[in-house]
Amino acid sequence: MTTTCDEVRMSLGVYALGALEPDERTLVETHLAGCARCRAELEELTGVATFLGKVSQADVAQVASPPGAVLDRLLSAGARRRRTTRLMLSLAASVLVVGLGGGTLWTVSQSQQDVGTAVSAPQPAAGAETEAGQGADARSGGREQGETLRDPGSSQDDAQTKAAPSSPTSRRPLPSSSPSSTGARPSDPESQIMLAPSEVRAADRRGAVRAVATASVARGVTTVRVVLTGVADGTRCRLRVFGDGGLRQTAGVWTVGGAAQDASGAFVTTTTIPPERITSFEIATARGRVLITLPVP
Amino acid sequence: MSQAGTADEQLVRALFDEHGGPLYGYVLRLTGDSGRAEDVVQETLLRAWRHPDALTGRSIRAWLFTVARNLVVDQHRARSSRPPETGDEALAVVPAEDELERAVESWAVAEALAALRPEHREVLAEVYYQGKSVREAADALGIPAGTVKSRTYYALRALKLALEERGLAP
Repeated sequence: MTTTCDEVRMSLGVYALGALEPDERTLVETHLAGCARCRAELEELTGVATFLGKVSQADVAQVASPPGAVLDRLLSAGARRRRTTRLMLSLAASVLVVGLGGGTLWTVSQSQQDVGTAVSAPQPAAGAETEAGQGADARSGGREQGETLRDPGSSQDDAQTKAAPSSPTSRRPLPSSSPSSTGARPSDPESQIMLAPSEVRAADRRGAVRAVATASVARGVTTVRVVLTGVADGTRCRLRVFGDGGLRQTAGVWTVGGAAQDASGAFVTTTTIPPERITSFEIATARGRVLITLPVP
Repeated sequence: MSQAGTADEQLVRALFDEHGGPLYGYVLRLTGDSGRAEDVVQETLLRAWRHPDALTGRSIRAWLFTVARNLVVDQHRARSSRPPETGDEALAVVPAEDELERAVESWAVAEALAALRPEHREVLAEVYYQGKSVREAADALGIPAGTVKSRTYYALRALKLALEERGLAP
């Protein structure tokens, strides 16, 4: 009796795994000797079979059922950190308008007369200093005041920063790449700054591109809401958030006028940098051209 | 904003669903302790979640494995700074850099197997991992011998696809 390719084909799997009974094995081998196509098929199956030896059944079982407790803990860890703290930042373009939530937990005062603008939240942080604009280098002190608001994950941020190969500070937008970044410094004559208890505004001469960013925090996650105007629909944009201590995150990527914007035209995304640690926002095109920088005083 | 919580949860769930299994398996093998493995997985995913930047432009899986492995190494060092013998022993289970790639691959294989249909996994378990013959497997599974053959064949074909999906070409 001769065996057909179809019959042999079905036996090649168990043959490749060495599970075929001896009598059938002989039949298969006889067919294989005269059939190049079935030999090629066997070769493929044997190749697949070699992968089986790389793992144990226990491995497969673990992969199939990762401990759900870990997910629960990750989610509930977030829940515990959820706070009612709310920070409103109104930032207008090429410039900044920084409105620190009037009548909310936040007040703004100009405590470091020349360059710095301290932002303080009555509770729980006594005085989370943020760095105004791009002039961060000279004012690195006083950061520890923000510690009380730092959620449990913040220390990991620091640890992680070490692991990240690039220096976050060096990624700050350079003045040459962003007309707005020079106008960001409170001491810069190009910008006008009005300080009120609840709001800080500044405007530069261009103002073609405008953005308003609002940040709020819940469960340790900062929600950032950005309304960007003066940028053509269809432009792919990237929102980056910079924080003190070299924190830096890409909070999201979206298309202007696209589906990612909500009904009011805002792009809403999240970052894990707490609002009080945010030093600036940057909106750039997908290709990296900075459209606008929104420093937080 | 409730949306934030939802988006946030979605990200955590996505990370966990996509990488939790292989990551846990890998870490469990390093630590040999499920409690510690869970802690390391949790910490690793937390870092990934907090640092989406770190994940761009490279293999997320390799990044996660690297972070997890470093956490395990750190734990070993912290634990064994007193008795050096224990430390050497403990560190011996931590793979060298070049083994990372192999670990990522192995766990992708496990993942590919886990993605197979249950009857395919089942027949491979009998025929390959238990080393049973077609007849023995047929008896164990209560199915005809012919079905063992065809199922094994289709299981290997499906595995080939699952491996290819993960960039592992047999």
